[in-house]
Amino acid sequence: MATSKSRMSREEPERTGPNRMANGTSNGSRTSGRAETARGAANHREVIKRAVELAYHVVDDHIRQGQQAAERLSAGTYTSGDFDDDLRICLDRALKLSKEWGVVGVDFFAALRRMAGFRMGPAPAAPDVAVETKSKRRAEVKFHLRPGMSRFNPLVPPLHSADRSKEPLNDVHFEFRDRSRPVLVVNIPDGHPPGVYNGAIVDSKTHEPGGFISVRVLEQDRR
Amino acid sequence: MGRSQPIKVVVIGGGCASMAAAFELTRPEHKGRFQLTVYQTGWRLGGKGASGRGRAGRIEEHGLHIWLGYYENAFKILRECYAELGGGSRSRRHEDWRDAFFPDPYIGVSEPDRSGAGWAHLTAHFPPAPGSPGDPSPSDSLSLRNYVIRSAILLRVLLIGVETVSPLDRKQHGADELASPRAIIEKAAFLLRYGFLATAAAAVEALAVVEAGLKMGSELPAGVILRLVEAVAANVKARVENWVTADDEVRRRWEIVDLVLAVLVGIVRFGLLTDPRGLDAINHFDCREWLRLNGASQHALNSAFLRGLYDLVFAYEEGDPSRPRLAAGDALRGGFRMFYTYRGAFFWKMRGGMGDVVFAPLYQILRRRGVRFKFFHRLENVRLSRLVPEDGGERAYVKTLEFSVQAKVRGGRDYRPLIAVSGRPCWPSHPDYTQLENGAALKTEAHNFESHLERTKAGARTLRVTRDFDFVVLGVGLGAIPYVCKEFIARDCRWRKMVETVKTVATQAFQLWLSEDLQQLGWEPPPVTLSAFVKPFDTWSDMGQVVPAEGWRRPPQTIAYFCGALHEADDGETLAKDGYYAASREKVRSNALAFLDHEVRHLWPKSTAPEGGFRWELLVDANDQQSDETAPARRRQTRAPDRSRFDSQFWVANVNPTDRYTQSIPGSAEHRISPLDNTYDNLTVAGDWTSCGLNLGCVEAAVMSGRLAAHALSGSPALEDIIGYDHP
Repeated sequence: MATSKSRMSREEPERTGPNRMANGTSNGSRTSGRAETARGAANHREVIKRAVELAYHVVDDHIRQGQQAAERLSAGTYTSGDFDDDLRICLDRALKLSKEWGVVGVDFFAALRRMAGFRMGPAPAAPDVAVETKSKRRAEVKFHLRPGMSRFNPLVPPLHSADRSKEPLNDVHFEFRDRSRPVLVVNIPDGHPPGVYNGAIVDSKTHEPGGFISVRVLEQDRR
Repeated sequence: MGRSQPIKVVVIGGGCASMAAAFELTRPEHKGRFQLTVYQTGWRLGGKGASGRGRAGRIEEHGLHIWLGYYENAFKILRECYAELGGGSRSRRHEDWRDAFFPDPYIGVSEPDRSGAGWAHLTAHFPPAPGSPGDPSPSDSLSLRNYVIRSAILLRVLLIGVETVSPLDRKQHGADELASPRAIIEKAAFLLRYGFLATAAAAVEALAVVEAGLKMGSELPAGVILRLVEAVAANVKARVENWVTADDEVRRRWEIVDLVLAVLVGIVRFGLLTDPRGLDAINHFDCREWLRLNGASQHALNSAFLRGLYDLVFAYEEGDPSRPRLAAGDALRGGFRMFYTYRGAFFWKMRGGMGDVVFAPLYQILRRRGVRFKFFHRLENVRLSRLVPEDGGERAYVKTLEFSVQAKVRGGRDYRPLIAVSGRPCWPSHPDYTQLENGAALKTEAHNFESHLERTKAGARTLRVTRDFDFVVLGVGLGAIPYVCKEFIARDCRWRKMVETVKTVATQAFQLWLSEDLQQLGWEPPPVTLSAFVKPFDTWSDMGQVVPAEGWRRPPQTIAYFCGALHEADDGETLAKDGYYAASREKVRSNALAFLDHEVRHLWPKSTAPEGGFRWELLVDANDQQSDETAPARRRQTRAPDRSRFDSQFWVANVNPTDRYTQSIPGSAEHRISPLDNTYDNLTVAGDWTSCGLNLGCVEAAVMSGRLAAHALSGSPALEDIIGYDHP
């Protein structure tokens, strides 16, 4: 903490929010995805094969049953009681499979975990982008970059504040210096009004959005 | 920069969050670096966790207080407190935390029976889990991956024992059949064409196809895999559901299966395993809404399990049962922690009031560590510095703290708040007026020093930055913020947004002391904590374990606590109406009487009188605890007890702004202020209403917040050591 002539003040925190990508253990230890993959890779295909086998056998049974039911329907001999029986048998099989599924479920969901690396939802930020802030004022930079964007030259148009009377931040860009990881450079002019400035990160060729960036310019200067 | 004088910290409020912050800041490792003074309204610590002692030493609680087995931070601090306190005090009853808490593995939910006129109760025994909450190094189970795995195991447990048909010949297929986009598309179309599929088979098959499909990346038409998952789940549920509803036991199991499947589909569909926001990504959805989006059936959405979840966290906007609202991400996070990460037991019940078991030991330890306590100090205003950005860019800060002094202690001494009941230090239900100036008059006037509307004061006190404090821990309840932080709200849109969107709800509760035990009352299962029962008292917990801790000459056979949300508007205008508190209290009394006459028979069939209505003579009146042996005979000679007997019991209407329960409304979590926020650089906030990682109204969230507040001021504990903070 700092002490001015008149009073004490807190130190800036390293962060102000939780890390939702950690696994929540103490000491900040995180499960190694690579270790899991290495352990699971050997039985990954076997697990899926087993699961698919189970699934197919039920599918075939049901198709066969459905075909028989269809034949009887067309012959006018399929009754509601037959339907109930078929449904009950189907359920029994489903429950049996659920039980069997549970046996493979642990391994299956390990596979699910790895499968989820192929994203269906919002992508995590590219992991290897450094941030360089050039500013006399204290600033917080947050950005989200879709993986793959780093293969192009991501472009950052001016970042605007919700308060349109404030000048935008015009000098925010990516630099690729030698062959190291890309650097997000944020230039904040002296005396720039404090506030939050937001904008998209776009593909320089297609201009399609590939992420977003938010810069909070604080009121006080860096110490 | 070195500093010879201790850093002066004012802690405002005496609830779980403030006490956790104080406990952390005064650890011996800090070597006296911080000098703390706690300012507390009224005569006792505890906030929403406060309890008192009334007639016959009976425990009188703010509401139902049960700790859950995943409260790692809360148990850590409590156990350390007991260990530090152990062996020293002759007045302390419990030498070990296990004397104060006991594991309770039973949980129950209720649902209307098929006739619609009665209720069926489902009780479950949750097996013991290894270890105890607060043990060092919790397991590495706090990840979505592990929750997904545990969900699969849960499904297996639910379905074990169901009769199955004999296995048929299996066709040999392998994952190699999914080696090309064409094969995947064909398989997906095949599955979609035949809807007569089993849920498990469909999910296994579909997810296997999904995995293979995702590996194909852009070669596969967008959305086909997702459509497959959704179509199979919907198709199967529609067909199977009609069959399972005929059998109650199968139906209930299927409702859980249905809900768990919806959760799993949703986790995949919303990409939560890899979203940097974790479960916060779905916090703008209501929990039921999100489950419905992911295929949960209407039966499952109306199930006792889901209603019980909403009841447990009073998730009804303004207490209106027709407006259930619970943020999906917060619900999942709490649900996963509750069901999958408990240690020892699912529930941990206290063998005394929460004030006795938690706040008395904390008070003793903090006093021993040199913390000062100023009771009867009510915060009126937190005044900020002027916002003058051109003055060297100094950040705004807390300049003064303005208090009303509700009462002064005789001789200027420190108020001694604890009393001894059965050899244990406890908090009384009323102040000790003998310690106060004009105590006799104050007693006669019967001021409620904990009431928001109580304006009696014996003086005022203003604390100034640097002279009286260096840092502030603002640990008041959320309901107080609009009244004491007006300047924050006026000039800071984030605080304005917070008080607009982070809601609280009034609650109601009553306690009964009964002359018969549960079996005599007609409750056959083990003693339980049960929810999803009829409103407004949808939650009941047997609290017979506290009987020995009270001071009865002729102890009751059991004690029952009931609670639920109270339908009340959340605005200052309503609060300020004349007689509002009395009217609220009367409303709760009326609700309780109706409940006992008409509804409790569904829990305790033998509690009903032959002519109908509740058997009021079951209620044990503390005033009947006469010393002579003629009391029973004298009672027999008087007329039979009627409804007025209820007046001998205990009930509360928690309408005080700071007594209201903090909710997790969709869209509100992002507007919570974090204790780590440094906008006002000599202030931190603490409470279950802050952005603390868990973001639920509970003891654990409050303690996490308090630990974060301590970190904000001292750097300790490390954020990684606040268990569950860095969590999906």
